[in-house]
Parts: sequence; C-alpha cells; structure tokens
Amino acid sequence: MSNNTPNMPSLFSFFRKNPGLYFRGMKNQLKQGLPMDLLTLMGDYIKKTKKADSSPTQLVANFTAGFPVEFLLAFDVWPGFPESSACTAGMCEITQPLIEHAEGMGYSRDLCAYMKTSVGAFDKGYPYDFGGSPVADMYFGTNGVCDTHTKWFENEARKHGRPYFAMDVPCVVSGSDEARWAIDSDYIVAQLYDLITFLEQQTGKKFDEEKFMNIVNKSQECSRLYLEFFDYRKKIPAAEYFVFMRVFMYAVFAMWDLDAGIKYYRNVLEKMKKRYAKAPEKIGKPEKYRLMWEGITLWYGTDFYKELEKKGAHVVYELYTESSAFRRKKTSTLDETFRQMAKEFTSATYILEQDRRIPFIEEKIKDYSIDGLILHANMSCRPSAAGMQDVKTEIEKRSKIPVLILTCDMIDPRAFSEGQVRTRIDAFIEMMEENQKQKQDQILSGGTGQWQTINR
Amino acid sequence: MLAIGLDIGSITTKIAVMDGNDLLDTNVSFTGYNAESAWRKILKDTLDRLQLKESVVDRIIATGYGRNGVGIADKTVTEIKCHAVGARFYMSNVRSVIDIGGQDSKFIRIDADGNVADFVMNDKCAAGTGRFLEVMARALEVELADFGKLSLNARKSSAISSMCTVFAESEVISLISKGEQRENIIAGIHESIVNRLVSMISRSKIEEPVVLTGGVAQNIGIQTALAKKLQIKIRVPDTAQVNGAIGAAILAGNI
Repeated sequence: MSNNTPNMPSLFSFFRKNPGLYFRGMKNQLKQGLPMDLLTLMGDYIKKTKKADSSPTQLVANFTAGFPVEFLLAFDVWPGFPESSACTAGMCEITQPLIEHAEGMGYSRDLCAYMKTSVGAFDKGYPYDFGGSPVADMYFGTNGVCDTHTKWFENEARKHGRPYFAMDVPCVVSGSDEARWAIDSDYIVAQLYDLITFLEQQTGKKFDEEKFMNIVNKSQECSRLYLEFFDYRKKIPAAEYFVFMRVFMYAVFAMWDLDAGIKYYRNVLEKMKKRYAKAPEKIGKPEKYRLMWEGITLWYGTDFYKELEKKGAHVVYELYTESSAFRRKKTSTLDETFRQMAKEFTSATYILEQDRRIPFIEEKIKDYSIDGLILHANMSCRPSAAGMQDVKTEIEKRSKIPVLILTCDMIDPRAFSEGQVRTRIDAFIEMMEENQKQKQDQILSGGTGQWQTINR
Repeated sequence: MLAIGLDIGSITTKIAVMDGNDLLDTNVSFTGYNAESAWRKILKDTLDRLQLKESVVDRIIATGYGRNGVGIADKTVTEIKCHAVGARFYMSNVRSVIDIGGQDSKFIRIDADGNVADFVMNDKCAAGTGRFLEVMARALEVELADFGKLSLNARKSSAISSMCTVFAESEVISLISKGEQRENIIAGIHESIVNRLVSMISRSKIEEPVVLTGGVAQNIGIQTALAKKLQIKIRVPDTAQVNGAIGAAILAGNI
C-alpha cells in the first residue's frame, strides 16, 4: 500500500463486532464440502491480499474480470480482485444486507450485484473474507466481459483519488467478418502498449519483456492444466461438479501465484488420472441427469445445487468456469502474445455472439453427454442474460433436450424464490425423465436414437 | 383403482377422486394459513360425501406449491405435468394449456405424444394472476364472481399500464376518481392481464387446440379477451379450476 496503512479491517476485529455473521459465513463456506487443498489455495489468496494491503512497499491494484493480470505481475503489482471477494461473500450467504446497504447509498436495484456487494462491504468495513476489498494504488477495468466493470472501477478510482486505466474491448456482433476483427485487434494491441506506459509511470519501473513473457508462459501452462481437467468432466460419472469448479477456477482467474496454481492443478490432475485408472466407479455420484449450466453460478445456492444432486441431476459443464482460462495458445514473441490476447478478449466464450454461441453450446452438449440445459437469466448481469430465449429455442430444436430458463441472480438472494424455482426444476426433471424414456424406447424398438444414459 | 389427486395451491386446495377412468368427485376449499389442515379437511369431506373410507384409496398424488407437505401422498408431481394430463382428459388432442392460478400463470405446450414439450411461467411477480384480480375486485368493490360478466358491458377498455399489482391498484383508484365507468375499468384490467399472458406465451409456441384452466379460467371476460388477442378458439372445461387435481388423480391411477 502506498500510504503505508492497511485500509481493510482485520478478520479478528470483524469477528469481535459481528460474531453471529462470522459464524454464519464460516458455516455456509464449509457446507460446500470443498476439499482442504482447494480451501487452502483460496485462503492463500485472501491472506496474501491482506498482507499486500498492509505492506508499506507493496503496490496493490484492483482489477476486473477479463483484465490481463500478467501485466500487473510483470510490474510486481499485487492483483486485487474485488469480484472474487464478492463471490466469497456470496458463498458465505451474507450479501443481502450489503446489497441493501449499497442501494441505500443510491445504487439502483437493477445494477450489478457484485458491484453493490463490494461497495456495501467496503462502506460497512468488512474484510476481504466477507466481501471487502482494499483501497488500491491503481485501478484497472475492462468492458471485455461486462460494461458495468469500467464504470464501477472508474467510480472507485475517483472516490479514492487513484489512477485508473480502462481497456476498451470492441463488442463483436453477429455477422462480423475477419476484416472487422483485424481492425479491433490493432485497436486492442495499441491499448496494451498504452497499458505498459501507464504501469511504467505508476511504478517507476521499466517494462521487462523477458519477465513478462515468462509470466505469460506460466499463465498459459496454468490455463492448459486447468482446461485439461475438463476432460475428466466429460467422463461418466464426471470428476467434479459446479460447486467445486466455481472455486477451482480461482487460481487461473486471479493468477496471484502462477507457480502455486500450476502445482495445484498438476497435483489434482495426477490424482484424477490415478483415480480413473484405478476405480472410476468410485468417482462422482450416480448421474441420472447430466446438466449444462449457462451463466454465472448462484453463489448463495449451495443448497440449491445439493437439492439438484439429490434428484440425481448434476451440473457437469458450465461455460462460465471454462471461460475463466484465457491464455489458451502458446506464444513466443511479444507481438504474437498481444495479438493472441486481443483475439481472446473479443472471443471469450462467456460473451460469444449468438452466431458462435449457439453452435458452441450444441457442441458441448454432445461432448459432455448433456441431458438438460439450464440458462441462468441473471437479473443483474445483462451481458450474460441477453439472448437466452434464442439459445433455448435453437438448442431445443438442434439438440432435442429440455432447456430451462431460470430467472435468478448470481449473488442477490432476493431474486431467488424457492417455491417458484423448485416447481420449475421439478418440471424440468420430469421433462428429462420423459425424454430419456422416449430415447430408451427408441433404442429398444430398434430406432436410430443414441443414448448414453441407458448404461448409467 | 381408486386414485386421488390433491392440488395444494396458494389460494385454494383442490381434490379430484377417480375410479379408473371415471371422475367420481371434485372439491375446492381455501388453503389458508395451514395447508395441512386444508388438505386433510378436503380429503375427509370429499370421502365422506362419497361414503368412502381413506383405507380404500389406492394411490394419492400431490401437486401444487404445497405438494411436498402432503405426507400421505405416494408421489409428488408438478402442477405443470398435472395440468397437461388433466387437459388431455378433457380434450385428448390438446396441444396448449394456459393455466391462470392464484399467484402464477403458466403456458404448457404439449407434443403430439401428449408429453410436456415446453412450459413458461410468470416470474417474480403476481400481476396477471388470480391474486391480481382479487386486489382489483376489492378496489372496485365488486364481487370477483361478477367481474367477467360486468366487463362484457364495457363500452371501451380503460388503459391500465402498470405492471405491478400495487401500482395498478393505485391506477384503478385514480380512474375511479376521474369518474371512469366500472365496467370499462374491469375490461381494462382483463386486457392488461391478457397482454401480460400473451407476452409470456410468445416465449414458447402456441398450437391449437388450446385449453384454459385454473380458477381464473371461469372468468368470461378473461376468456373473451384472450381469444380476441390470440385470435384462436379457447376451450374451457367445466372442471377448469380442479384440472390440476384431475391430472394428479389420473397419474395416481397410472403409477
């Protein structure tokens, strides 16, 4: 921290003031049933972010999802990620009063609930473990994933009187051709050079290309290992489900320690390889229905996902977690790396235009043997919720599986009506059950239908 | 096979008793605060009326929002499937069901084999449901049962633009104070409900024959406005309000 004083309260002082909230949060975190090594990894980021905040010499940046963290690491700037802290508050199921607090500050009910959780937690003096975030030395935003990000961080930087860098990613619309992409790419690459200049000015350091490329290579390796894990989710039963994956993506998303991330993913993969080779029947849970989820997770919805699992329905694939890995191709030169980044920013699976989004989903349905698709129409996330009806109509037609649009919110539990959701889910399961019966009948009567669940 | 369907809705609890393919009896009561005492009472009253003992009942299926609270049920099934099955009992080749209940309205598309192909429901808001009509009837000091007939005497429909039940009530009160005729306001209320329904239905694909079910289906004003807006014939069974319970009873007989 540049002003030599930590601005986030300690967990101990928070506990003394809010013991009930602390225990509730911890209980809800633990009920997810996450393995200890994953909790330790997540805890490591929180611990180190607090340490960076209290360090008299360590510069801290706050960045939004979709921002190339490798630049911050190359300048030894600590990557603070307020959205991850908001997600943690979501898992603790304590966001509602924080969101209401932010609304009391004048933020509309329709605005992003991540932003409101973060703003509310900061204003109420919550630590990083419960939605808070440090006042950073500098702020970095991009509209690559969501347009709220750029205004949110611009506002934060202005409030705290800190410098702000915004990266503008042009929106690719359906029907765009390669010529358009080349123009967009040049535009983004120029901004990445601007970003270097900005960081040089803020840190007083010169850009070290060799160090940067070393970091990019590591992030590429981290992404590669992370994505390799998805192969084990294609297996029946799958290696892991959504509640695990949404935390599993932390290391590849926040990238605070790429060496630790690589080591962790490598270990998990090794273990998984051995487990599938030895006793695959002991992995996963009985999968009556394999689901795909499109949209952000319900962070407060651990019970909801458990309820689904009790009915034999497991989320085995989500675009949301897969799209968190950015460096997918190996690069060797700076220019090639910048071009590759530009390509990734405009084609992140999370924000694909409909022309590519629908075939992409269709392909994943085949790859992961999906029985039903849930589209999360996220009330405070317009980029992910727009176009859901078109996806539903097309996928029902192409893949012949039931598709459910579930209108909720990623982190605001007020948008989750248990009775309404339960009826929709139960009806969706009835439809999948009927679908399976029909496909099995087709096979038994010598039809051409192919159906993997018959052997489950 | 004596089979019973219990539909525990937000406002009313419905029961249907079937013996094979014969519908023996149906009944409706208010759910109230205690859903368990509501279904226990309606079950006892109906069996008493039929001079049957509970021990002779072979199967019970519970549906509706309170379905999981019916401890004696052999199975629970969603009201979506039950309404589809109930509508097929009324019309075997039905392809679309519009159900307007106490606090939700739903559209169910049925495929050629009689299975649920798609469904859409209202979300987060009870405007366009039975509860909405109840609030409006109170504001207009009209019996809910008279709503439909009164609307047929309207010379025009008053514009009700609010999407929220509470704000729509304020709008109605404002129209009353301006001297707008009660019949016109009721016609406007029906139109606003139908507009909302049609917008929801448009997310799926309506195919004929169309059956209208649920408590609100008995309202002639809604029937008329819906048929006019969709430009299709709407069929309403006499048993529209207990359609979900009938579907549950049929499914209970087939377990």
